[in-house]
Amino acid sequence: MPQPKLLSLKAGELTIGDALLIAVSKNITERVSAPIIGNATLFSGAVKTGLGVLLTGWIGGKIGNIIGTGLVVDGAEDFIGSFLGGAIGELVGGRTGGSVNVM
Amino acid sequence: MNRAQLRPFTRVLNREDLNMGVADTDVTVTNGSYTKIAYYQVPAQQQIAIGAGLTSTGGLDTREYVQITLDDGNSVTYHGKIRIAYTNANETNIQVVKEERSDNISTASTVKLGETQNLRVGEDSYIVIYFNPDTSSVIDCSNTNNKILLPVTVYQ
Repeated sequence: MPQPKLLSLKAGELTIGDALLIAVSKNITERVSAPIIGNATLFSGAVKTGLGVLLTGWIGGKIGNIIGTGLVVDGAEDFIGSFLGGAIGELVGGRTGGSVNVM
Repeated sequence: MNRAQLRPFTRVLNREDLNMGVADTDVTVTNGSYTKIAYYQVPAQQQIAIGAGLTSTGGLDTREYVQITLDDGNSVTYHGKIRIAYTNANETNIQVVKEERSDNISTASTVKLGETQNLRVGEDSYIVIYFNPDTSSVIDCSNTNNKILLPVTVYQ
């Protein structure tokens, strides 16, 4: 079945269809791994990044790429979040955390 | 200190912190209306969220207990409804975070108060406790049986 044109559109090397699959995979692996390794910490970032690289090779093919990319993106997000913390919220909206209202 | 990053730590406010200590003025409370009985003003360079701890997606519960006991001097608890709220510095805006019955909150290790998400108070704003008694009374602040243990999360 041919892919709809919209899903074939690319941003850089990534098609929208693949990006959606990566997002689904990322959400699933994030929820499954959170009770085990936590989330948004340096440790969880390290584990997810390493696991992403390994699974890309072990599973292989498109599925391996999707799952591995989702894990690596999630791991990188955890790293950046840990280091910058509320600084991103301060830079963007002048509030810590970005989503906290302060009376 | 880089003010762009606020780091939290948990703290428990007692009644001395909340201006309901032994030397503070007695408070008359009237059935049918909420009267301010305790308050804490946020110091400079801090933001405070009422409550501490949370329940994680994995089921870990780190919420801390809150206790507010108001005593009549004969080891009998005044009963009524208790509200814990934020107000701004001029008390023109009040946001209630929790309303609880004294039957629950006066007992130690009974009511948990997790950190209020998405709303804190900043410098010069207040954390306030209001009381609406079942029977009009006078809270004697010098009564050492009165107890407040209010967990908060301080960001600075």
